[in-house]
Amino acid sequence: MTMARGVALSAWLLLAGAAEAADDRLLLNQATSEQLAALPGVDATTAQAVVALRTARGRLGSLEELRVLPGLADETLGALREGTWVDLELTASATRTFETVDDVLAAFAHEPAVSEVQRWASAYAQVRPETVQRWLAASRGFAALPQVRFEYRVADDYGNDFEYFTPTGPVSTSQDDGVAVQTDADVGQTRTILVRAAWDLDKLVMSSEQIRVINEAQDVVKLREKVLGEVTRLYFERRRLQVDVLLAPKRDLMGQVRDELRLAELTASLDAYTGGRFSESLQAAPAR
Amino acid sequence: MAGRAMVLWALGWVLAPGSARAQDALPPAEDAVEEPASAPMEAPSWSPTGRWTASGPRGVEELVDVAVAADGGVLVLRRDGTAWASPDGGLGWQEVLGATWGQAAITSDDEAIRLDAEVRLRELLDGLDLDDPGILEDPDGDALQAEQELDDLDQALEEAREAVGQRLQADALQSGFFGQVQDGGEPMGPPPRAWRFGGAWLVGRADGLWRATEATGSWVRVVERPVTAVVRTAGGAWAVGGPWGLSAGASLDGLREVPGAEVPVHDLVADGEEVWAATDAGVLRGQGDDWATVPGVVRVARRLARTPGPEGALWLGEATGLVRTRDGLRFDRPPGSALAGVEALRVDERGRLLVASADGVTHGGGPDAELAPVGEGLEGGATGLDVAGAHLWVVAGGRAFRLRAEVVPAEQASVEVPELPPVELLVHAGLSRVGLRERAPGGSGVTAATWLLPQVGVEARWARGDDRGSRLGGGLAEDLAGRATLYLFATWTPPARTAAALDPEELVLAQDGDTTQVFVGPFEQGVAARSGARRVADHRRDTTQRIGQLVSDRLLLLQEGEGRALPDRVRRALRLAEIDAWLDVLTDGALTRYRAGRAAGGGG
Repeated sequence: MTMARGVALSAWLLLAGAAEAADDRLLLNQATSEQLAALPGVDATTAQAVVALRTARGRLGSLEELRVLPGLADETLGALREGTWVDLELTASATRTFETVDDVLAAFAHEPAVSEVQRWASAYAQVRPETVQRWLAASRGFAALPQVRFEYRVADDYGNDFEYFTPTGPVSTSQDDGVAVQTDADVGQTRTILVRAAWDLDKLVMSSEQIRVINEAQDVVKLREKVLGEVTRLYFERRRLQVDVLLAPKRDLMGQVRDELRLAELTASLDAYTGGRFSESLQAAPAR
Repeated sequence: MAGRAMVLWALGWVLAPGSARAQDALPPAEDAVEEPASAPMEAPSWSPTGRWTASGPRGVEELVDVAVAADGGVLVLRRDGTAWASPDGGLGWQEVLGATWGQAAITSDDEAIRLDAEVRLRELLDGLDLDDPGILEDPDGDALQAEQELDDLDQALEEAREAVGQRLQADALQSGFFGQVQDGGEPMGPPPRAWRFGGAWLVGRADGLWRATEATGSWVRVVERPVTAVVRTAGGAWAVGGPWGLSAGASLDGLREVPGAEVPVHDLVADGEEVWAATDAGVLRGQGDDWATVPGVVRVARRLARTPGPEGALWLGEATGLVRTRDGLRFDRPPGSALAGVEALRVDERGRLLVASADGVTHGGGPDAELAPVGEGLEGGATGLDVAGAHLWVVAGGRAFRLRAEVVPAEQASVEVPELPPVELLVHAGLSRVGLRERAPGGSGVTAATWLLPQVGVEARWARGDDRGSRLGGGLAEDLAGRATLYLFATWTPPARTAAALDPEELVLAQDGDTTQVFVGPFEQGVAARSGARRVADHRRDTTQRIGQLVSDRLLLLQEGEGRALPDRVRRALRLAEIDAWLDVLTDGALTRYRAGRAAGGGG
C-alpha cells in the first residue's frame, strides 16, 4: 500500500467502552450535538461543548481530551465512553533524515516538557506542595486560637411580701383568719453579658489535629510521588515510541496500527492525569 | 503433504495475517506473524572483541534467562520467577511480574506437599488459626476432603496469586512451609524461561505460562502447568511443553495435549510449520496432532536449535556440548562444540548459531566453521541468551549482559549532558519537601506537658440589675446597679481514660502503614505521633536511597559512553532526561530550579 503524506488510513477501532462492539455506537469525531445529546446521561450543553471542542481541534484522539471541558462530570464522561467510538488515524510523515540526537529531539520541541506535564498533573490531582503548606499552617494556627464563648443572660425576678391582719391587729400566720395585705412588692431584671476566651495549652504542644494533618501531609507527598512518577514514566514511554516511529517505522500495516494505538493510549493516559491539558497543549502548538 | 494439509484445515489454524483485519477488532498479539524488522538493518557480525556490558537491573542477582525484542526491549528473569523489563535496551528497568514461591509449592508433583501447601495457603487467605490442625489430622480423610476443598479453592487461589504476590513468599518463609517444598535447598521445579514472539512476552514458570502484550502491559496466565518450552511456527501455531508433556494448537488459549507425548519436554524449536521437541524420550518432530519420534536420536538433549537452509542442521545442546545432525541418523561434533553445560541455543538473522554455556557465549559461522567465542568481559557461565536484530543479550553469573559492538567514549559523546548539583543538595532538597520535614512532637517530656498543662483563659462579665419596689405606706423605690468583672482562670482536668468518659474530640485517628488506630487522650496522642514519625523516617530513608540510585544510574550511563547508532544515542539521551525528571519528582522540582538559577547566573 502506498502511503501518502497526511491521513493514509482511518481504521475503525473501538478505543473506549466495553469489549463488545455495539453497532449503534456513535463515532465521536462525526456525531452531531443532537446525536450526542440523545445519549443517556449526556445533556445538550455538554453535547454542544464536545462538538465545539472537536471543531476547534479538528478531531479528538480520545475521550480523555474532554476533561478540559469545565464542569464535565465523571458520570457524563462515562456515558460518552459507553456510547461512542473513537477512530484511529494513521499518519505517515514525510521521509526525513536525521544526523544528530538534537535533530531527532527537535522534532518534538513543540510538545510540552515533562516538567510542565508534571505541574499539570500535580494541580489536577490537588497534591501540590502549596496545598500541604496551607494545611500545616492552618493546623498550627488552629491550636493558637482560643475557644470563645459569649453569653447574654436576662433574669427577671419578682417578690411580694404579705402580712396578715385581723380586727385585733397583725397576726403571724394565715391560720388565724387574718386578711392578707400586701406590704411589699419588688420587680427586678438583671442583664449579664459574659465573654470568655480559653486556651488549651496542651494543644500548643501537641494536638490531635496537628498529628492528623502531619500524617495527611506525608500521605500527600507519597501520592504526589506516585502520580508524578507515573506521569514521568508515561511521558518517556510515549517519547521513545515516537522516536521509534520516526527513526524505524514499521513496514507492515498491522505494526503501524499497533504503534498508533499505543501512542493514542499513552496520550490518553497523560490526558487522564492532567485533566486533558496534555492534548490541549498539543493542539496549541502543531508539529513541525 | 495432502494429509498434513487436511490436518491443518481440520484444526482451523490461523489465517494469514492482514486479511480484513483492519475492519475488525485487533487480533491478539500472539496471532500475528513474526515481528518484522522495523527498518532495514545490516545483520551484525558477532565480533570476539565486542564488549559484554552488565546492563541488567541494578542490585538484582540470580538472573537465569533473558528475552529480547527487535526494538531493543528486554525481559530478564530471576530464579524465583520475578521478571524485569526494559523498554530501552537496558537503560531503565521496571519489575513487571512477581515471584512464584507459593505457586511453585502448589504445583509440586508431590501430592502431600501440594495438599499441605493448598491448605496452608487457604489459611493465609482466610486468616484462620494456623495452630488449628484442621483436616491435616485425618490422614485417611485428607485426600477426599482436600480434593473437595481444592475445587473450592481454585477461585480464591487465583485471586491470591494475582493480589498477594510477594507476600506469599514472605509468609511462606516466615511460616516455615517454604522449607517443606524445597528439595535439597533448591526451589522446586525447573528454572523459569522467557521468550519473545511477535508483540508478546512469554514467561514459563513453575506456576504456568504467563503472557504480556505491549498494548496492555499486563500479564495473564494462559497455561496453568509448569512450562519449560514454548515455540510458535511460521504459520502462527503454538506448541508448549513442560514436565507433563507437550501441547499444541492454533492459539495459546486452544492448546490440546499431544497424544503419546506425555514425557518431560526440555526445549522446542520451530522449523517452518513443524516443531522439534527435545524430550526425555528423545527428539519428537511434528505439528498439530501429527508427531513422531525422530529415529536415531536416542540421546536426551536439553536444548535445540535449527539452522536454516540446505546446509542447515538440527543442533542438540547437551551437558557435554553440542551435537549436530542433518538427517537424524548421523551426528557429529564440529570443532569448538565441546562446551560444558549448554543452557541456551539461538539462531540469529544470518542463520548462525549462538550458544550459551558454562564456557560463555560462542557462535558458529556456517556449516563447517568452527564455533568461536563472542565478546569479552563476561563474568561466569552463561545460563540464558537471546538475540533480536543487532541486540544480543546473555545472562551469566546471575547478571544480564549486553554485547556492545562499538562505543563512542564518553569524552567524544555527541550530546551535551547538563550537570547535576552535588548529590548532597539533591538529598537535602528531597528531605526538605513539605510533608517530610514536619514531625509531630513526641517523647515523655511532651507527654508529661500535655498531661500537666492546664486550660487558661480570661472571662469578662458585665451585669446590670434594675429593681423596683413598693412599700406599704412607703411609696416606690428603684435601684439600679451594674458591675463589670474580669476573671483570669486556669483549669486542669485529668485525661479521660474510660470509654464512658470519652470526649469524641479527644479521639485521634492515626495511620501506621495500612492500619488505622484510634488513640484516646494525650498519652495515646504521643503514641500516634511516634507512629507518624516512624513513617516519616521510612519515607526519608526511601527518598535518600532512590535519589542515590538515580544519581548512580546517571553516572554509569555517562561513563559507558554512547553507541554509534543514532537510535542508541537518542535512547540514551531520553534515559538521561528521564532520570532528571525523576529527580525533580523526588525533590519537588529542585533540580530544574537549580539549573535555571545557574543559567541565569544566580548559582544553585
